[in-house]
Amino acid sequence: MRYLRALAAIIWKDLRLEWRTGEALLTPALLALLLLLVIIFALPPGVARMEGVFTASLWTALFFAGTVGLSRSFARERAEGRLWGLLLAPVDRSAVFLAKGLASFLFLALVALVTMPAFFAVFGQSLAAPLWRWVVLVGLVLLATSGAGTLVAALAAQLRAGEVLYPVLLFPLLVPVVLAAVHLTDALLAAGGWGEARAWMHMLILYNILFWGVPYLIFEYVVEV
Amino acid sequence: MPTTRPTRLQTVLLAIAAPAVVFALYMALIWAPDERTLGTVQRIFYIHVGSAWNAYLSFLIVFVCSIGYLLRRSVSLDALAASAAEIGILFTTLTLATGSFWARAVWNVWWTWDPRLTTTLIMWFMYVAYLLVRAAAEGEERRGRLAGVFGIVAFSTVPLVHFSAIWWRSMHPNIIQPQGGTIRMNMDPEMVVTMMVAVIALTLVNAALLSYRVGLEHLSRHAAALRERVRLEVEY
Repeated sequence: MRYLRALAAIIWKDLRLEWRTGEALLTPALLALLLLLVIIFALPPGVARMEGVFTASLWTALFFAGTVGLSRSFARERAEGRLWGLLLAPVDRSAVFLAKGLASFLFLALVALVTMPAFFAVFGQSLAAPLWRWVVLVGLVLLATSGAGTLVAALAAQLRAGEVLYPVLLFPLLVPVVLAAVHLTDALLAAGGWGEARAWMHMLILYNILFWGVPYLIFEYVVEV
Repeated sequence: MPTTRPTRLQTVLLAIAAPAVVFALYMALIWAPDERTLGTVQRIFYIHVGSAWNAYLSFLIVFVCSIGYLLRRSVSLDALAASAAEIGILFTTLTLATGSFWARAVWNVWWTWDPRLTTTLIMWFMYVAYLLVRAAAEGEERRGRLAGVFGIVAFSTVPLVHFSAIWWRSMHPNIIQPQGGTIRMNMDPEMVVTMMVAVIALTLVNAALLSYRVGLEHLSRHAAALRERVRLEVEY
């Protein structure tokens, strides 16, 4: 019970902080839209309508923009010894990880919610599959991303030039998630249902278990003082 | 106090590994029979499999030492993890390079985005990132701890590299398959023997490299400690 209260308190703190700064929400959303512009300008005319280009552009932009928001999750705890305050709370350290991860997931989901319609509109892409399938797919991808992203953010916050290193440390871990996201999106656009893509779905679920389970177990070593 | 002279372990390992490699090369290049369809280029297989096995082995050592370090905080375990990671990257590079030569001969391309190849490449990037974590962490304790965490997370993807070939109907061949309780080798017995010898020889090379690299790691830590002492004495 105390665990859940601590969890809620940290999430609530992050939400309020976000409300006042906007750095995990506004900045990534703007970056995603800017990337959309850059991609559209960089592509030769007509290519944007080609199969696969939409999927690649969408996920490249979302993953890049996502890392900007994710890295803030612990970077902003560095100043004024805020992390110490968090760690002094009389709960298991894993609560800090879960709360931070869930808050990051919430921000990522909001960023996707705001920017994805723009991608569909600009590329002239129809949904092609029931909405709930998109919600499940994007939800699982972002969940795995925020799990790994939160762990690496906690790690990078303690490194020299950690903000620069952050994407280099995170992307190798995320590549399988990116691959699954791309294959599953293509499957949805083809309107054929999961079918062949079932193996990718299994892998995405497996990575969710991995990227939440492993940090949950070892998080107390990440943030030792 | 660490010395620059080779220890007995290092000398013995080197003395066994060097002739073992020569013997393995003789078996792989001369003794083993030609493959029926692939021809003589198939002989790269022995080095390829030996390197791949040692890459996995090195990353397993990183993983075990990482867990051990987080629990026990022993400097030796951290030094072992750091050394094994570097050697693992070396063997992964060899695996990718030999695989690329072979692919050029057999599939007619240097590289293909096959899951097995892709995941091996990801593994390579992951352990380069591991070395970056080590390089960017300040303080011995913090470096060991953060690298330990990253070493555990990175290794969690290594089994996926192995099973990806089976799961995703890869074009990468699967020579060793379990079949009804036993293991079936889709190879000529002489090839199996050669493969075993190559794997053992490269594992000995791995062990010799590791022993030297760990010695170097201890030396460099000792040097850093001495430098720190000199700095303090000059300051006061």
